[in-house]
Amino acid sequence: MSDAHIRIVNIKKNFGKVRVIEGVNCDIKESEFIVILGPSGCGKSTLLRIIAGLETATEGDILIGGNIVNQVEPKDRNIAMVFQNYALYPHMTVWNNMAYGLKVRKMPKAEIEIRVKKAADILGLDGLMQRTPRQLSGGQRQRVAMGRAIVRDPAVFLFDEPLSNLDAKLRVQMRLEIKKLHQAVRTTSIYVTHDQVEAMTLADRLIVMNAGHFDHVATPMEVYDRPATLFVAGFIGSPAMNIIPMELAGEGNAVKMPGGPWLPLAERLNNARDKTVMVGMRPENIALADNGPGVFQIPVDLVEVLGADTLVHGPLEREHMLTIRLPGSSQVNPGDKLNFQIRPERLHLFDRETGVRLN
Amino acid sequence: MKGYALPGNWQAHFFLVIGVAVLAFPVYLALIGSTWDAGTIARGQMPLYPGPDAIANYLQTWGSGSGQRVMGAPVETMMFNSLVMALAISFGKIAISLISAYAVVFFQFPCRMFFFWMIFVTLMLPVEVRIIPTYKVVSDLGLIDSYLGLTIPLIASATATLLFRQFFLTIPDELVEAARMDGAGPLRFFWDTVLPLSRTNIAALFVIMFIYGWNQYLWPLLITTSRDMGTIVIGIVKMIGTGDAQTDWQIIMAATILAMLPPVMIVIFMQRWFVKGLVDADK
Repeated sequence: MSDAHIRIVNIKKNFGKVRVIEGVNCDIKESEFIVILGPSGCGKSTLLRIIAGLETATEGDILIGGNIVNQVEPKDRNIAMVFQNYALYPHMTVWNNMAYGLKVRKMPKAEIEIRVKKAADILGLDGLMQRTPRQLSGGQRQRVAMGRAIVRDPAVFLFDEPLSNLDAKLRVQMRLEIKKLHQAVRTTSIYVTHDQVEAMTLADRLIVMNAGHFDHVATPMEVYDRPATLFVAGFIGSPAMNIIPMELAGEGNAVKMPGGPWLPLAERLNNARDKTVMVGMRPENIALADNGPGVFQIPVDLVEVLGADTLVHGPLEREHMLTIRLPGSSQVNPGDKLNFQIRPERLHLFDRETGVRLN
Repeated sequence: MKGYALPGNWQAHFFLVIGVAVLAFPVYLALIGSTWDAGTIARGQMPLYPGPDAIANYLQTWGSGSGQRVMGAPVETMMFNSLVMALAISFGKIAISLISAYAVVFFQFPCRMFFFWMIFVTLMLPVEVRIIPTYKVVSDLGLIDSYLGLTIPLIASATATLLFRQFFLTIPDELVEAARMDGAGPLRFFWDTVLPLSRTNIAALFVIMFIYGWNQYLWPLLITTSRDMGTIVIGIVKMIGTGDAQTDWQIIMAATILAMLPPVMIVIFMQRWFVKGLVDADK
């Protein structure tokens, strides 16, 4: 296989006067699985289409295997793409759908047979080869779409929200299959999604995109543990992180919870520009506590029992709602007043204006 | 089918039978008329059952037409001319419209919408409106009394272009992009994907256009002068005597029945495709 490392250099894209992508950079290593995650309209699909060559960037370069491919036609970029709506040829059988790209490239018949057979084996499509797409279920169509990409044996796979048309159960199953497939073929992959579970489970590295910027590029665990911006903090994790503005102590070593105690910080904060900072607390990092320093009391409004977990919702000084995730065995009832605490290193601090991480 | 299996179903049938009778009676009359001799019809005493002269009438109609008359060409010749015209018009229309709709939908070029609207506007200019300039052009090109002159001016079709355009717009962008990724160029995509997907539309359009071409009256009347180039629709009209000449009604009836056959057969054979093309986009 050819060298399949991808460089995205200062890519900008405008649609008319609207700036969709504002200068993003990234190096993608060979056989890496990159997931671009972001809300709809953040420019992630546009970026993928620029990499595919279906859209041209207003500025910047795409390099595949060290060559600038800005002017190269999609078919000559040695990439294959799986589309959200599968984009199968409705009038062709599964076999023909998969073989078409090879036929167009005038590959010998015997070679096509071998490749299609192999891809069908990998994806469990034997026995469906003579059907047309309309005779297939959503999951099977998705598999055919992947098969069409695999037979080409490209340097790069591009996935554009491939699972968003499937029902929840099938999505979990296909997610695993994509992961397995990548482990088997090790092809460099770029996967666009707005589903954070897909993103966390599939990615070697995660790109969180927001309003045309890369907010955070890191492994899923790093993104979860130390989100780079307020946006990333709020976007990753379910239930979402509690984010509350708090007053910073003069020495920068504690924050004042509204109507509550001072929460000590793990390290002294001296890069804050403002007296008020945004403090993030993951629901799963807040724990029940006895009395002591940094312990705060929450009146329980609402309890959601999920089996494995119990979600507790309660107001903090009326204006903020706090969500706390407790073990499933917890006996909590609405109306209870409970004491909680959070470890100082579990506090995420962000600038109120720019949203940039401070600690 | 969704059926209301009510006891009162006979009401529906009652009205259907009346409708069929009203529509079919004139055709039946023509069929009966073609089986009697001229005298019986001329006396106004034609019975409502078949007469004895069917074979003779049809043989005469087919072979020599309303023979004694100056313009009477054999129906055989006129049917052939009509068939050539109808087929050329329908195939020509489909080919031209497919190509122009493909260009308008899938390609970016300067003034794209302008060209689309130019095509669209011709919908407001039926043959009758532009017939004099068209006649001038065709006659200057020396195409009077030829199949080319008969068909080419009728081939351009805004209706068909519009229909194909609407259908092409329903082809998802992703399919076009998938084809691009697969390395299929515009022509390849047209042959391998667009054409097969359009086949029901093509079939439906073929039926409509064949009948349209077959029934053309004004244009062939202008453009054909020799008796060998006449079409059946013109021929039937010309068979009707003017002034003192006797009208061979039995021959006209037979010619009418024969003229009906090709369109009816097209509809019968293409019915399944025709309905599919109109109701189901086949995606």
